[in-house]
Amino acid sequence: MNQALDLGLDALSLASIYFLAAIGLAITFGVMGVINMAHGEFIMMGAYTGYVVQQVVPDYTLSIIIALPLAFAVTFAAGVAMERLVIRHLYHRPLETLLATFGISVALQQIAKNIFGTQARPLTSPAWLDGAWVLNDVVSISYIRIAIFVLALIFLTLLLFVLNRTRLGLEVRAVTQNPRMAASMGINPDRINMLTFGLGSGIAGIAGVAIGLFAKVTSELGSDYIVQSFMTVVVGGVGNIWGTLAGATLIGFLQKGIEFFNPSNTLAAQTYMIIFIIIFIQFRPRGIIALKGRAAGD
Amino acid sequence: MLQTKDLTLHYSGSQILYGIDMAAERGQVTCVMGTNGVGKTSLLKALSGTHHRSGGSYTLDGEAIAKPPAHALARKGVAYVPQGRDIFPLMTVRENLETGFACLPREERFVPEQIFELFPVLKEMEGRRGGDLSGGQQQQLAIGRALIAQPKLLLLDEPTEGIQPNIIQQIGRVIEYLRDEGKMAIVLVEQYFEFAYGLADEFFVLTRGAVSLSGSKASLTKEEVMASVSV
Ligand SMILES: Nc1ncnc2c1ncn2[C@@H]1O[C@H](COP(=O)(O)OP(=O)(O)OP(=O)(O)O)[C@@H](O)[C@H]1O
Ligand SMILES: [Mg+2]
Repeated sequence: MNQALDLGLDALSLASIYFLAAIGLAITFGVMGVINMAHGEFIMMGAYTGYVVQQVVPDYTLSIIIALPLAFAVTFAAGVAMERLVIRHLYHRPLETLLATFGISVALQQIAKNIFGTQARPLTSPAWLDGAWVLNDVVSISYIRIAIFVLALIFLTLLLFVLNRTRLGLEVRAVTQNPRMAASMGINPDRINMLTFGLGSGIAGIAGVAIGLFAKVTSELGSDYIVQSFMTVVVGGVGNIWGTLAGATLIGFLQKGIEFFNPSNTLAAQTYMIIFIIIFIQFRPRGIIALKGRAAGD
Repeated sequence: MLQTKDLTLHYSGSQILYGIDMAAERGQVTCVMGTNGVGKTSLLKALSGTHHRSGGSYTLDGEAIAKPPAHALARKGVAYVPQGRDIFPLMTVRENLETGFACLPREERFVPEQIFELFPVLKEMEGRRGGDLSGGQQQQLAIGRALIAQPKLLLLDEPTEGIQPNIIQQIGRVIEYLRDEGKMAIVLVEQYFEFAYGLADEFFVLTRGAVSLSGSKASLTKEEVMASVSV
């Protein structure tokens, strides 16, 4: 019983990490349909932003408070630049987008290596996040995982709010559903695409700060998350945020489950997981939360 | 209000429109007629900026229009109800209407009651997704949506296509109402002859991408117009 609870909590916190990592992609890939292989590098950029801030601001609490919006700003700018320079010339050409962004991903990793070296850089969490919430001998959960869970919830709410309740969100949805008609209604699709891509990238940056708090910050940080992020979005159902939540939950629990039955062999665990997902997609090609009704074009 | 001179249009090399001279005035319905594939939709695309003309001039209210992006033309007061309606399928009826706010300053961003008076069904269906509406309801939504920004030029591409008679009548009444209000010029592309003839003040008949007949209702007999559009 305790063990199950412990495993469940573990899975839940893994799910919130995947959710955080994937939510930016849920916008750029899920909403806009851009296959951005450099998404992981935006996460990495966010994490390094956090590291740099900590070099300047010694107070760990304050530095995290500064790092979160700054990471957003940095990766938002990087995303906007990338959209303007590369992506916008490649809309509706997925293969070329994939290759171009893969190239950018490799280049960004190399740049990070040149600037920060190959050794892992620490991103230290403030002391009040150090402990763990101990329920009993077996079950405990570190505060940092709780913080990440809370952060994931905040993001979910914030993003749902932006997409469904704000003017920007309305224009984003209009442009993604029918860019030509959106333009005829007076919406500038170029501007919206740029902002949307920036938003997705900026969120990846914030996720990077959170992930950097428990993972080692290296130039390869991003590539550790890119596959899981795409899986999360695809399994959850492209084009909606709830789907990403469902996808992250499924993948988090699945991974912990497989690891539990097969503790020593992580490679095998990865393989089982990918097999499961391939099978899953055969049965539910539109993901867990598929859009329904005449509107979805059935 | 609207004037084109010698307007031409190409799709990647093949010419579709040949030297269109056309005009439309406020408070009038200018009807563009012609058989399938003569270039009626292409003409509206040129006027709405969704596919730019390749030559000729285009003026709106005396202002020469270069080739601005479609959203800039929309902000100049050109509203477009395309053939096929192009409703945003996953957005609610209300949200579809609100897309038109992009042309309005912040303090004018509300859906005028008038739109629901013209199309009561939009009020009933306010929270329904656009893609779930019937064809007739979608057409009403497309017209309502075009009116949000109080345009000075309204472009309607075959609003009766695939729509049942009572809704067609209703759409006809709305067009009459808008004409009599006198705030906008209405360009109506239509193949349903009786409907178009009943509403039109001016005619432009296209044949293979060129104007083959034009004139006011008074200057042309019904038989003349009918003969010019029959194959
Ligand atoms: N995007 C396009 N690319 C190439 N050719 C096109 C394109 N759109 C239309 N055409 C061609 O241009 C010509 C005029 O088309 P258009 O849609 O303007 O006709 P229409 O008068 O509106 O016809 P209908 O009554 O069937 O709506 C047709 O021959 C059509 O095949
Ligand atoms: Mg047409």
